Amino acid sequence: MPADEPLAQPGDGNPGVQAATHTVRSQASTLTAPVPRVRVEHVAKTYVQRGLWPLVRRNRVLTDASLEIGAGEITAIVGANGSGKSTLMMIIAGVLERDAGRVAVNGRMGYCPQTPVLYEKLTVAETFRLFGIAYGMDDGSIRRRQSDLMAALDFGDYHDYRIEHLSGGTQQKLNLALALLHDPEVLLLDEPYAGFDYETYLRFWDMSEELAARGRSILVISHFVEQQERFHKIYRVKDGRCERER
Amino acid sequence: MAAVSANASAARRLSTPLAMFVRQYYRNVMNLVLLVVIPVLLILSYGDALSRLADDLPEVTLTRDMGQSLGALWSAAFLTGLTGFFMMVGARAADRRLVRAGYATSEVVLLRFVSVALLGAIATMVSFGVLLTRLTPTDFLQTLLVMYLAALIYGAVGILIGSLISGELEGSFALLFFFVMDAFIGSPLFGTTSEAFAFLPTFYPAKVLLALTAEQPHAAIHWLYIVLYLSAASTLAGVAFYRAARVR
Repeated sequence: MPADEPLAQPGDGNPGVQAATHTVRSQASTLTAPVPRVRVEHVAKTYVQRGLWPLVRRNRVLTDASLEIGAGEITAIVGANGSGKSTLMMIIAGVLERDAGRVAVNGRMGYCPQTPVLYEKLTVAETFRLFGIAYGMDDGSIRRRQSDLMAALDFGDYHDYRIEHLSGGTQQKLNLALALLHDPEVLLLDEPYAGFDYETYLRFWDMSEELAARGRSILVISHFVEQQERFHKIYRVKDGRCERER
Repeated sequence: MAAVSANASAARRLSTPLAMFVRQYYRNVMNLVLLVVIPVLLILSYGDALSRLADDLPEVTLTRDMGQSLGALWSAAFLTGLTGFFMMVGARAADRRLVRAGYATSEVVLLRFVSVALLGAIATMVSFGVLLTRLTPTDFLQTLLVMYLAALIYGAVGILIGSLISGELEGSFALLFFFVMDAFIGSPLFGTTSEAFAFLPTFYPAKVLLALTAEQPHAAIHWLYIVLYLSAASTLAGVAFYRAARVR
């Protein structure tokens, strides 16, 4: 992302951003030790599939998963297919109930699900407006952020397109942009660059590094960690637990 | 001034998703096709067929006007049921994301109900309009009202089924099965006497509408039953939707 096109900064007129910054500052002034932005402790999750009575299949996905993410960190969750990466992220995001354990998130959260979750009959601009209002942003802030994010992710030409008419890659860009719209302190990204072309993939990393430099915490699920140096921490989900690899 | 600003902000917060929910519906061409086809089919064709069949059944009194009125009732109801169901099925995950983004679950549930009610009003008006091409009800207001209440009941049934059944195909079958039970087996043509049929969604609306069409008196308590049914269906649908959309 070009340096002269910054994403929203604290104090840019977006009340949501100011409120969040205030929260972070007040934490910094009252606590002596740094508080993790995300703390997950001993989380367990079992999926229960009910067949014809009395058949019940239980799939224990997470048994004792714990992790911590600090401010300004880019953290990866890796693991084999079906290991529980997305389950863990959905639990952190609050879209899936856990069976046991604790999850604490300090600050506002942006969640980008693995597959685009969007209203397919709405246009891109309408989608930004709807979610911007949900985040508590005013119209001016929504427009500015929309413009910045669409330029940063290179889909500025699709402003008035209905989502159902967008390619899978462009839908994924919008999916990611919605998670970033309110400039959250914590970003949860479930394979965010699936479907991106290489140039957008690089733009994504530029953007992530810029966000981390501004103290944002980013948790990324990835099957492959080709570029390990991009991550401050790497957790591997295996046998229901999170093992820190780095 | 601050109060005015807060009110404007709250109005924007509620009116924007409401407008977009309704817009989503009308951008689906199939919904517009159904809005034309179903009233025509149920009022002109089915209503006629029902009354002609009744001509051959001496124990059933069902004039052509009554058959067409029933067709209009079921048209408004079925269209609104479809609206509620497909709105839920098509937007369940995105609604949950909207809640995750900052809307209260109760706000999204309320806005979905209001949008189904608005679309139900349109379905009722269209069905009523088609009915007017065939007959002139003596009591416009009550005829329209009972049709709209039946539509609202089915809207709630659609939302309930859409909240409980995630598959589009399975849910469509469930709604259709429910409708067939209600409109056909529960219809006066079958001369049903079992009290169990009183639990079908359009049992009392149909009774009231038939009485209105035949210009005969009907029990006022039937209106109360209709409102009670609507309240119960809406409560069940609201709880099911709330549980499906809430953030954990």
